[in-house]
Amino acid sequence: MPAYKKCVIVVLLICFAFFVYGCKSTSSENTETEQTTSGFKFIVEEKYSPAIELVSVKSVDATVKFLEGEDIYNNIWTRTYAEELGINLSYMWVVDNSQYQQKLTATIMSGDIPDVFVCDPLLFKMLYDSDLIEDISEIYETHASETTRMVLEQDELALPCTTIDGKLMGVPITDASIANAPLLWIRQDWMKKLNIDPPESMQDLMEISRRFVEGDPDGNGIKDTIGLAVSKELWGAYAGLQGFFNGFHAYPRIWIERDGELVYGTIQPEARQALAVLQEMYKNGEIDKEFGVKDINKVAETIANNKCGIEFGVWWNPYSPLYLSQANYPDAYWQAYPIPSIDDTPAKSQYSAAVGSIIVVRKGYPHPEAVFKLLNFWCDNFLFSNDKELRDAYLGSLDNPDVVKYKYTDFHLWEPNSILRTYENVKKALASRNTDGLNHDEWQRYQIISAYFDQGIKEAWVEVATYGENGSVSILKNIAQGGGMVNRFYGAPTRVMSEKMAALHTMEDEMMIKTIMGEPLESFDTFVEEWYKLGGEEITREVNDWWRN
Amino acid sequence: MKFKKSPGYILFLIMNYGVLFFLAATCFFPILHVLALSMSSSTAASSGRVLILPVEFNLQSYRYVIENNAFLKAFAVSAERVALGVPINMLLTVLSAYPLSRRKEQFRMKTFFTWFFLITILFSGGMIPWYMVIKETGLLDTIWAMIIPGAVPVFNVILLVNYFRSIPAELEEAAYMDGASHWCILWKIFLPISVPTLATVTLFSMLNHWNSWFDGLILMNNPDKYPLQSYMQTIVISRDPTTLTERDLDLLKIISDKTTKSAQLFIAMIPIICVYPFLQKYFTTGLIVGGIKG
Repeated sequence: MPAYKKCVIVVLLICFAFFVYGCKSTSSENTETEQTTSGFKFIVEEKYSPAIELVSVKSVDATVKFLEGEDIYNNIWTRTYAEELGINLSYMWVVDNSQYQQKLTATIMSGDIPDVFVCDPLLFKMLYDSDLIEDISEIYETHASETTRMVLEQDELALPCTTIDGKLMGVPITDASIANAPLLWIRQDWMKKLNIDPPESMQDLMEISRRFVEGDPDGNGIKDTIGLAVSKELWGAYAGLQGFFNGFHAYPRIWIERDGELVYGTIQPEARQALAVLQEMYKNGEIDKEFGVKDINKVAETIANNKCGIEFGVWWNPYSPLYLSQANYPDAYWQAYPIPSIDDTPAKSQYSAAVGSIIVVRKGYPHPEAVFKLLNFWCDNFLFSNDKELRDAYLGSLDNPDVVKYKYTDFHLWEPNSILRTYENVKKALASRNTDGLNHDEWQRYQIISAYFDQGIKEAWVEVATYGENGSVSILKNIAQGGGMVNRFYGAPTRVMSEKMAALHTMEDEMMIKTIMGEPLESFDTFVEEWYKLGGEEITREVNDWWRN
Repeated sequence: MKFKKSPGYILFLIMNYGVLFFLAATCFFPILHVLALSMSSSTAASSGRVLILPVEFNLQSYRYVIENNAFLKAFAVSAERVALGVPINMLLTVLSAYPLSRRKEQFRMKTFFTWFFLITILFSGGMIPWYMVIKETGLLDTIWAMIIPGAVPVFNVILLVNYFRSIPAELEEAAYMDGASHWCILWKIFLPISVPTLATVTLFSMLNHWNSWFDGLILMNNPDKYPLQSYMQTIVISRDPTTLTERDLDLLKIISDKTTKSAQLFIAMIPIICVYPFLQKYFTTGLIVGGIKG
């Protein structure tokens, strides 16, 4: 019967498909390619013998590329760890960065906890509350090498971030906190063209913004430029408003000390003053009429399009997105300035502890000290190494710039102060024209900056505007020496905070955008009241309790 | 008979065409825009100078895509997923729809089984149980993890059940009188009549497999095994601007590279664009063609 035959054929085909796939998945076992690590001498305290197993999880992103025949499970780092430290590092899974937290949560909930892994502060707190991670205070004292400790303690906010109830529960992955302090960026070529002096005060800045709108700085005869770039996210790493508020001594989104208590910056009266000025600027067309719907990528287009001349952002802005401006208009040059002030008191740039992720050890993992062996290995052998061969082999080489090898491992720390030191060394070298004693990275920057001045290579402005003598890093130095306002709250999110802060932030942003776009300033006052009512009061209490302890 | 073309009628025609053209244009514009972006120079694209015509035409980004292993791998995984998933979906849809469309006298447990299927639409266990089931059944990290859990698309089953029900009982009875079995009735009568619905359901299931990205990200343990849309998600994602650090700079460059992004988006669209015209005709030929006469 043909009908039966057809069914039988379909069923057989499906069985066959299952069968083929079953076979395929078993036959595609990893073919291990044995490559030895070339003969570098490493400083290693003690090698595990026999070798131990360490299961982790890993996030990668589109920038992680491998050499032919290698992958995340088998690369120079995994091989070296096995050979030099006796640690067989393997991964339960590898996932794209964007889904890392979600997948990690799913994995932990399903009962599989990796031995050592990276998590964010929120999950860190949850893991601590559920008693799933190991207290590493003692291990830190006994096993962290001198260099590792130096790096971790250099930023005084780093270790406190991962200390709960006096116990060190994780290793903070450090970055320089001051790196997120906002600076003022202005199109210097426009200022020159319109004969404007650098801003000394906030009033000057507003004058500049006005003239950028009216003076036709792009020279196309049409009044199509705006002053200040603002994105709808308001607090981004570029085109943000923190810096503007700081000029009025207002510190949005962070906790500051006032009269012996911690208070939330956004709801202070100074913020109202700043908002009033922003509202005025919006009315005069100095802020994009459509800023409320433009995300930072859209703002980057405005910048690239030669349409705006002022933005508040962090020190690395020239690398992205400001380089676009020069790429399209070769004469464009953005210069960083310290935040000007509205009155005689100097303005302070706000910044927060830069601990975005934390390395933790599973409770009950038999070799918790392995985490410091891995970190020591990095800090003692790579962090300060100038050995070009070593750097090429383990960090990535210029011949193959796409393959950045340190991204294969999570066990690397960066020295928070390195930006400032690089700046000092490059500055010295530029003054004396003597490159002795520069490390590889500094030497490269030196070369690029020299190319700008000696050969007039305009693309090199990016380095000049950052590590150059008057570049953005020179301002960071000031901020590091007390010219900044640090977020006084750097603990793990408190209970009510993790529940309600996100909603309060949304409310805050909506109020800001609406007020700037013309709603009466009273909406700021109602917002403050609402803020307290909808959880702000409890959060303030929690934060102060945390602070007093 | 000829319509007398009154001014009102002409106005209506103009308005009608105008509105329809406008609607079509709004649908077509984004596609053209992406295509134009993918063929423009990257400075033109990043400064927003591209609308529907390429600016500073070049095909650099397509070359990048062709040389980009990750994209091609992901494309292959997606193709594999559709090739395996759609036949399994269709077979199981048909096999579950037929009994459920029977009358109660023919299939006593019908109510139970109808609810058995419906419950899965109404309630779900949530992400963690879903993940655990897949993990414990050993499907994790295999292509079957994306196929077996969704093997019976209940919504499609309901569509097909409803269509089967609308087929006049006389057809079936006549066949039954002639000695046809259930198998015979299903294969020889129901399926040929239901071609339009089957086409719709096939398209749904194909789209579903082609477009889903979340399961790939969560269930695969290595980016090498991502289906196309999961891979796409990793390049079109926009980062939270408040937590950007200088270490994200090179990532920022990649994800803000509009031209290669657009090229990949465009290529990912092609298979579905190709399938649509062939199945489209079934949507328009009306769902109740054929059947009984007199």
